Amino acid sequence: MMMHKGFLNNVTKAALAGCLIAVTATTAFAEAVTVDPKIPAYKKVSGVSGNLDSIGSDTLNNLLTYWAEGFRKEYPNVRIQIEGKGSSTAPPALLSGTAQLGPMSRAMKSEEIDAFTKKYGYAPTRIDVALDSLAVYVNKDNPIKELSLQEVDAIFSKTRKGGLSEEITTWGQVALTGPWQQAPMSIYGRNSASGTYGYFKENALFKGDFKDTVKEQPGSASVVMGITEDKNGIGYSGIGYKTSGVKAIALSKKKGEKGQEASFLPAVTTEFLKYILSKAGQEIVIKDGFLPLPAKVVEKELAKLK
Amino acid sequence: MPKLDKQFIKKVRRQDRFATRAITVGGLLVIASVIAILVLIVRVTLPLFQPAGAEISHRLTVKSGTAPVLAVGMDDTQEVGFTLDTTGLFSFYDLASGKPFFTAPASTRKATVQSVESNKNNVFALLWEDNSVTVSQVDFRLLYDDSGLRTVQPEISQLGDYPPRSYPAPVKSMMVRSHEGRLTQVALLADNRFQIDHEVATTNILGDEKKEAFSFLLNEELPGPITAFTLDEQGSALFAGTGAGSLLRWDLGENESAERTDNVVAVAGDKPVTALAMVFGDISVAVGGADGSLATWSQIWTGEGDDRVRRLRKTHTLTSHQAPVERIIPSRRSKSLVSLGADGKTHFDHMTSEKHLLNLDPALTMAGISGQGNGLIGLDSKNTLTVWNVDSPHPEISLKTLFGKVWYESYDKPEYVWQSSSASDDFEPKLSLVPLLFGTIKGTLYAMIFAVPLAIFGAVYTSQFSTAGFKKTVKPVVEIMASIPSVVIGFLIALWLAPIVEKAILAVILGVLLLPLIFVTIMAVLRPFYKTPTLQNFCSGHEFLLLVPVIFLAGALAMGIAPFVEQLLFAGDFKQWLYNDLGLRYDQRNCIIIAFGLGIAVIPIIFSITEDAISNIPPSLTAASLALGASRWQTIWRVVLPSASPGIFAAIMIGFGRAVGETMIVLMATGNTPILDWSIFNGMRTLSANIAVEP
Amino acid sequence: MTKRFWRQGEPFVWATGLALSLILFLTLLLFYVVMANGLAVFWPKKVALATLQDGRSLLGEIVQEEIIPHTDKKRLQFKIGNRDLYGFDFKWVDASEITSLTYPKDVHVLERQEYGNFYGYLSEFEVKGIAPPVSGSNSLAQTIAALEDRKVEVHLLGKKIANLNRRVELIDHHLAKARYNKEENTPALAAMQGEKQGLKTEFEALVSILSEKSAALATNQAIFTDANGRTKAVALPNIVRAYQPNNMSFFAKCTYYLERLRELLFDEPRESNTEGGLFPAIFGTVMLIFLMSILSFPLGVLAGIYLREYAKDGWLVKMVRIAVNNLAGIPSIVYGIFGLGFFVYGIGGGIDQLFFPERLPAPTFGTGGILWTSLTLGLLTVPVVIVATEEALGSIPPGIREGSQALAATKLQTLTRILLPMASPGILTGFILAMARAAGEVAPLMITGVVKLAPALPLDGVFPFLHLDRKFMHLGFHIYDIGFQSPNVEAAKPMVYVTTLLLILIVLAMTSTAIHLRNKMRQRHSVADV
Repeated sequence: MMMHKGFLNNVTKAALAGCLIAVTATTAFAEAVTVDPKIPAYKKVSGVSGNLDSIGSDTLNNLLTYWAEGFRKEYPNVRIQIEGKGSSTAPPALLSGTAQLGPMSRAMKSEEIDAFTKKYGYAPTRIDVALDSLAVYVNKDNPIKELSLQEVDAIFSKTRKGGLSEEITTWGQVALTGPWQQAPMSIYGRNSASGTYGYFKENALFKGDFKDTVKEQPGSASVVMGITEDKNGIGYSGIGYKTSGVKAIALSKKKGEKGQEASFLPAVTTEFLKYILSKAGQEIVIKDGFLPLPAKVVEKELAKLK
Repeated sequence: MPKLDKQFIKKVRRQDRFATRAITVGGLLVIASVIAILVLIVRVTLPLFQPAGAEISHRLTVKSGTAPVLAVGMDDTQEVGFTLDTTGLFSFYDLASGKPFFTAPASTRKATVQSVESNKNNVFALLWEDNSVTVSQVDFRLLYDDSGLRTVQPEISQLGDYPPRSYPAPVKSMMVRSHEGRLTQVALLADNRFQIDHEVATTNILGDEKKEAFSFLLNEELPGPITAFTLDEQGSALFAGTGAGSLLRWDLGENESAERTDNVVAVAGDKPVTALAMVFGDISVAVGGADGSLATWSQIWTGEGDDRVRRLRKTHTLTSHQAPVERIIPSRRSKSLVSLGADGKTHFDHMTSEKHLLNLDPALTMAGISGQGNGLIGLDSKNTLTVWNVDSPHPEISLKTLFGKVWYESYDKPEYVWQSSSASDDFEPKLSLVPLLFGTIKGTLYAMIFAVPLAIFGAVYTSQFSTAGFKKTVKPVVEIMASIPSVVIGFLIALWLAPIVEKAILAVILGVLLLPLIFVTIMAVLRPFYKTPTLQNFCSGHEFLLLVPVIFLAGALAMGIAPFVEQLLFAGDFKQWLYNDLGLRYDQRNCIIIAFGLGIAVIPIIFSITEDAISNIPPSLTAASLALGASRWQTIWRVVLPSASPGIFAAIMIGFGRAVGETMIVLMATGNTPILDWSIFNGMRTLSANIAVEP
Repeated sequence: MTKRFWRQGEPFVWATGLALSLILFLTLLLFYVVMANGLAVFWPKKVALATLQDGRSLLGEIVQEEIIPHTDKKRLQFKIGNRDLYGFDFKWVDASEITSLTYPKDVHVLERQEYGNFYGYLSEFEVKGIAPPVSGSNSLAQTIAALEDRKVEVHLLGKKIANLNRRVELIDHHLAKARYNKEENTPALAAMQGEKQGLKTEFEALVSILSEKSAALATNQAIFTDANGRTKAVALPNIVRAYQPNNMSFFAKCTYYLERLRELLFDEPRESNTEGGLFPAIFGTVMLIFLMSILSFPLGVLAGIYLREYAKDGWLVKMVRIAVNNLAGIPSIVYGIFGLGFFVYGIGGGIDQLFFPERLPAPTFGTGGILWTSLTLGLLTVPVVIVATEEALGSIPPGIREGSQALAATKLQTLTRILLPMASPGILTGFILAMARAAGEVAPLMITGVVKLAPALPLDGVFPFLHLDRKFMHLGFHIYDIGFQSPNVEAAKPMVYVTTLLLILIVLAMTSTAIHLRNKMRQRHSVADV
């Protein structure tokens, strides 16, 4: 599955949320992906300084850190503070004004938008910043090639809204043989504050509930690490977290969503967002293992900032 | 020595008085704030079980003499209310002043509305006399003028307008759903049959749109006349209630036909079903009966093996009315339901917690809930429109949902569930504290089993048997151990120890068994030589050093024989054996790891306090005991430990407290699985880690 | 005889010894793991060239090897770097596929500003404005050194621009305040606007010079080839450090090690905190401990003295004692939540309303910051200090107080000249141990102001020098963050161990100081014990 990582922003008023497109877990993506040449380069302007706080998704945390590093090369005395504990921490931070940017790896819930609108009188602005593809990982030694979405549901969910009548607990149930046949699955996942958790729940679990035995890890990286060290492990996480110790397996399911309207932003924030949507910013997107936006989307997003 | 002149004494006294006052005031202030903090923490940590309340915020009379009202509603800010009458006219009222200020028709046609149905907030499907249908949505835009003043601007938009279809009998009422390109119309005909029409639009790869229409009648024998029916959001399930109390469900997933999946008796005593409504989330259906009963039903898995099917079961029974339930209005934000009884009573219930939130008196004929679920608007027979501001901050929280088994939607049976959030709006937080409390106790217990004997024995040895010089070095070492940050322990045991233990789990278990075994053997071997003075003199105070090789020996031996034992007893794979023969799943993040990590965190604390407690026993006691011929162990066991027991108990309790509150270790190394299982081979979710891991 | 041996319980004595050995063993094991993994990180590792059966080859450090499950074959994990070329830093290769494994002398390892390490062979240079490099093993280092002057120039230019920016920012603040106070058209305002305009022109001129210079600098590049002959041009200013690990003397390796250590301690992090230094985190940790101590020590001692020496014993004092003890037992995460609710939103929000209304709704103090974090940690340690002070004072025999007062000393004199010096070892121990605990505490920080990246330190050369409202970085949180949330976990793992080692060393240093101090004071005042 693929998520369109969005990113929220407020202080003086805008928030950007995430939109989701889903396909399969890609492999060997790094060599193929390049930035759309139509995306303009970033132009420096004067008088950009001040504080920029970002609180939200930990999946996007690193991307923001990279961006912040790049942005600070342009504007050395901008102070950027980045905090990432999960997408669900973004809306409260925007609401209380503790952050100007709220990166999220899922769309805002209407409850969250309501609360924001109630306080500020206008809706948060959503800017899409990168595409991510969410992958189901297994250990590198696991011979499995493919899982259907219904099987994923029966592995991760206790409510099995996907429709399979029996839950899947051993690898034999997904047609592995030999020593794998009797081996119980060891399931890893994200903590509930994360947008990845919510996205997976909504799309792979058909809005069902996770099993109690899903080990909730406080970061996408620790999901991957757990699976690396656990032969029977299976878990989900962004494709950017892939390492040599795990294998991403293919799935399928599609889903799309729309963004919200924008309003005005303070200069630092606007410039930072413009930087993100520039060539340099989108190159960083690839570096962190996400997929860059097409030029058309960038153009649309830039229009929201005017 | 300074001269004792008067001035000096005066000065000293003044200083003293001043210091006394300053310290008293300062000390009292600090203490007062410390206590205030304690009180605040208690207040913050205690969950708020605020009961629901409702107060009438507005009351106005609707213009009399106009057409009968079919539906009412209001905006989220609770400033504008509206009515929809049989001419298809929306009339908006400023609630504060009670004045009508805007009207708009749902459609340009001049006809009478036969019935109205609403399945989303402020979306209405109007069935006209000629069997055509209009779906209208009422939007409220918030406008701000320059001074920041807010006005609410209502707008009517038409979501769809569908021409009449051909029906073999007059249409009594109709429901319309549109989901992912499929339009579904279900009409209840006067001859007690349903006609179902689907209109499916598909787009092929070339972008060409193709429309197909399907129409069929449900010609089945029904148990009594249909008295109420409802459809889910997607138009894929049809629920109907009959005059004999039956609840029927059809699956409308296929375009060409419908399959009846359920036929259950929902209202006892042959009384009719009088009201049906989908509970928010589209899984449960609320059923109101002529006997006043109100219950929710949902499909759950039943049967065994290949025969497992989903069937309707009654999941929650809500507070009954005294008279037939006339109407059920579900909230669009939570699993709350408003139900109107024929006797004029209005009930506000929460499905999952089965909490009866409110009981309102006025005899309403019509009601609506605001989008955020915090307002109720109702119309009574005298055309008075009343708005209640409903304050029910946590309808889903009750002692029962926190500590009891709850039957959540889509679950096969009532369970203790912790699953607090999701990205979707219709998700219901499941907040059973039982798995968290259980996890906290489980983790702490195993950690204490590991830590307490080690720490107390170690402390006894240090204070009573070791040499004085050694004691001076051991205490600082343990204090240093106490200062190892928990994030370091957490990181190490999660990412370094857990994989190692997983690979060598059998060796770990064998090691734990072998160590005492080897120790006892060595003791037995040593016994005959023990009385030799050289050995005794040499050993005394250095026993622990001599035992270090024993630890290594046990470790090496365990690792050496583990593969053979595994081959011999466990068919080559211990973990697989656990799973197949005992049904225990081995999880990498398990209690052994946690016991070890929490153990390292609490051992130094218990050790230090115990050591202090034992060292504070007056030496005269020990001396007396030894002088009476007791051995050094007898002295410890019978004299020293009993006297130091309050201190030791305190040490254990403080260690226990630390283990319960420890966050980072548990967060990083447990996997945070809210399971109810004492198995040492899987993890847990504790309260403290839960605070850190949740938003 | 046998029976007697067991009944006398000699084996139990040995069993207690065993328990102690186990405790010590565990402690040492823990330190050993951290040391073994942390100390070796900066030591240059040999780069192997593996030729595979299919004719391809790869270049990288061998990180680990393991047996493939369900078989008896081995496989090796290589750190192959070159993330911009391959997409991954690490690769597993079955040992059976490797036909030869050599360590070529002329392999270069580049640490780059971006995309991690590069492993490859140097083929040629493309330089402008400096003398073309001489050939030889040292040519790369010399060329990089030759560019140093121009790099410094660009850096200084950047600093100048930063200064300008800062002045513009200051003016903007004044303007915002004026706007908030509804001042219009005052001469001061006009002057400020004018100044801002001037600065802006200056800024633009400097920026264009800077971009020109840095673009010119970036055209200096070296061409490298990887194991399979793919070429890659690397801009020389992007190279942080270059070395040839297979061709290094022991001394050169030591120099390299020290250089990396210097970078760790004094430089800023790069690449989403997985490379570069830890300076902001070290600074944040130390400053946090310092601020916390200033807050909690005097208050705790004051309260302790009051309770023991001044308060009248009664039910109230007893209740207070119970309350204080309970407070010491409350989990730290609960303090974190309290800190967030009370300090950050309560007090911080209030300060913003009162003093910085022109910046609202962007909060100044109403968001997590080092002040609130240190207050929260201070709160966490105050009860410990109170208890330690009370106990230390309580263990002084009453005879000493009576003796002092009999000699006509006032209560204050008794306190400052006799009791406090005698109690100081106890007080200090309790306090420093509390401090060490606070230094390693992460859970409450996570909610009250610690962040992943905050290169702006809470203490700097810009008025008002001490910025208590700023967020900060912390070593403990750094471990959690890069260990559990970094996208490139494999590459980040060594850094986690280094950070762990550093944090442990800081905490150990504090604890040992405490112990040393206590022992010294105990000796000095031991006469009084008699």
